[in-house]
Amino acid sequence: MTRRAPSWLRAGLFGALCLGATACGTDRALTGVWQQVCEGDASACADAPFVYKLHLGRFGDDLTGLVARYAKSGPAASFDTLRECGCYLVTSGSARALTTRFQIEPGMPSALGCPAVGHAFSAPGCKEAIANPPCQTVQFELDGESDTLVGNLKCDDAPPVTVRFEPVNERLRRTCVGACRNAPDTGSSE
Amino acid sequence: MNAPRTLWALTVVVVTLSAALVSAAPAPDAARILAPPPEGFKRPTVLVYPLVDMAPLAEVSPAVVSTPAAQSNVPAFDAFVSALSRYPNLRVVAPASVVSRIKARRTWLEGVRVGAARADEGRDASAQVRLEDATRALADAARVFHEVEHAYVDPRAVARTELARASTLLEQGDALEANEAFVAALSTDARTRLRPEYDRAETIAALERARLGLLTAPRAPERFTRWPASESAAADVFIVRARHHAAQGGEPARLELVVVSANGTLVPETQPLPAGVPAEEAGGRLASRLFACLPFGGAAPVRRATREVRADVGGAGFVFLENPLDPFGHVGAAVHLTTQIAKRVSIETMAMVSNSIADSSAQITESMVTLRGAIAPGFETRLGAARFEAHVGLEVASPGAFVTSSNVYCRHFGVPTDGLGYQACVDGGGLDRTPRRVLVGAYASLGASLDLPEDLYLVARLNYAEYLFASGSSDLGRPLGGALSLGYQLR
Repeated sequence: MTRRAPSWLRAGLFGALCLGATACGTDRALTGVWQQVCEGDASACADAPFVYKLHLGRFGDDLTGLVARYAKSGPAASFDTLRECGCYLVTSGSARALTTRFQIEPGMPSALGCPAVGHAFSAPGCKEAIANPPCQTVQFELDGESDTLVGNLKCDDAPPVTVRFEPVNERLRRTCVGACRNAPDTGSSE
Repeated sequence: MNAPRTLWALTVVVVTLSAALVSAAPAPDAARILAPPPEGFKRPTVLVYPLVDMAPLAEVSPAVVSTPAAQSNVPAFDAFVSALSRYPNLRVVAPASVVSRIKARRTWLEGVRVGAARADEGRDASAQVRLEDATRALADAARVFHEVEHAYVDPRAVARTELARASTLLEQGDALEANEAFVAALSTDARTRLRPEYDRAETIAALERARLGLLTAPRAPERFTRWPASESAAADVFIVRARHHAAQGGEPARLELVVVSANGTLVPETQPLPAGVPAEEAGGRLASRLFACLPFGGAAPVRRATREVRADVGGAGFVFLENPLDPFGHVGAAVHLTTQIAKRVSIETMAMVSNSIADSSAQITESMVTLRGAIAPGFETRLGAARFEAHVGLEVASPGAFVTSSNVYCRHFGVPTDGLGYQACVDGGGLDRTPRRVLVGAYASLGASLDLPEDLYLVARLNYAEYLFASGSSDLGRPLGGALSLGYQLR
């Protein structure tokens, strides 16, 4: 019969191995910044008024973060801050196996640190889009874990459209204040 | 008060005072000298070197004797050594023991080996009539023999080397140096003579001149009055060297002594040995005079342990093995002071400040500053430049507020600060907060250090604590960690 080391000893050894590291294990995979890709077969970009950048944080099976939305001015995607048009809290996030699901609610005043009104965003047509959002809820269902997230997004009851995201080396945003720094109100309604 | 009672009282007082005075009176000098020294008394050491008997100088062809150098044929000298040894305040090392002491020196064996080799080279060179090489090699051999005091172990061998040097110098035509070498040979062993078959008249005459010169005007070689280089200098060690001279020209035989100290002071003494005076009496007188000029001795110096203090500063890290989350690390800085209080006993004092690093599941929402301090006596031992130590003692620790959350928004966005963070993430809401605690328990550490130049050292330590008391409920305990530090050794 093989005797196992006591739990506290195993925990200690594991802790010693993790000493100095900021995170261990795979339950933080997906955490980072993901940017929508319009090249190739991502047909969603062609007619869509917005592209998205995901600032995700994964904790085991739970997922949260922010989604920044950028207004398009042509077929190509642009993630210039001047074109930012909305910053939304990720809700109902989950990450199980290789499938990631979450949603944002542009119709709700849930932009973390920002007012629901769009006066802070200067992209053409942005104020109107925020005041009268084309979707109350946008649902994301993506597959993949490390290099690419491919799946679809669904605006309310409309048919889903295919989207693809790739990781980018950027600082993870944990607030929308940067994009709406002139906003008089700060805080989250969650 | 009646008269008889007063008289009785006076009598008792007088008797008591008399007894006290008698008991307080100093003992006679003789009794003090012969009394055994008190415990802890530090006796001066007197090294009595083997007697150099110069009497055979008077004989044209003295018999070659095989007497060991440590033994003398002069009863007065033996009586002197015996009498000196009876003084309880002196630690007299007899000639035989001095020879053993000389032979026990590390330099002696090497010196004899080198000297013998150079002497052989010199004799070979002399046989091949390479006189300069021969002189140089024989001079080297004699110098090395004298440096290690081999003349007191095997005087005949050293004297034969000097004799060979003298003969070679004479063949070279250096009569002055040759005479000094002949004198050196005779001063080392007065029985030194040329072999009967030796037929070089000039050498025979030169040796005879040197012998007669020493006989009429005895002179001691310089090394006779010098502290030997191979003997470590000590303030309470004295060397007694002695020579015995035969009666000459109406003068009685005599013992010539010199007391040499490490600081260079010399005390010469001469004891005549007239016929009819018992050897014990002459030796006893000489011992008495020598005793009078030697320090009496005193209390042994109290050995004070050097109190060594070592201070080191370095990086430290640990993990609470007892922890409600997955183990997470704490890194910081630690200061250690180790005070050596005895040869292998020391006290370690430790102070550490650390900050937590993120746990793997990111449930800690605020970094935790932990203060730790410990004091622990223990043992240490040295192995070359390395030192190993083990200490067990008491630790007082204060882990900072332990704030965790299982709420995914709290974990990602953090607590609300300056308008940032997740607003609902507050105590009792999404946060679990354990305030700062004070923990007290047992501490143990193992260390290994390596000496570096300039009193610096590098030390690695492993430490562990088991907390026994807490100021409130605490989920954290059993810190296991280590430290790597650079230190300086203070004295």
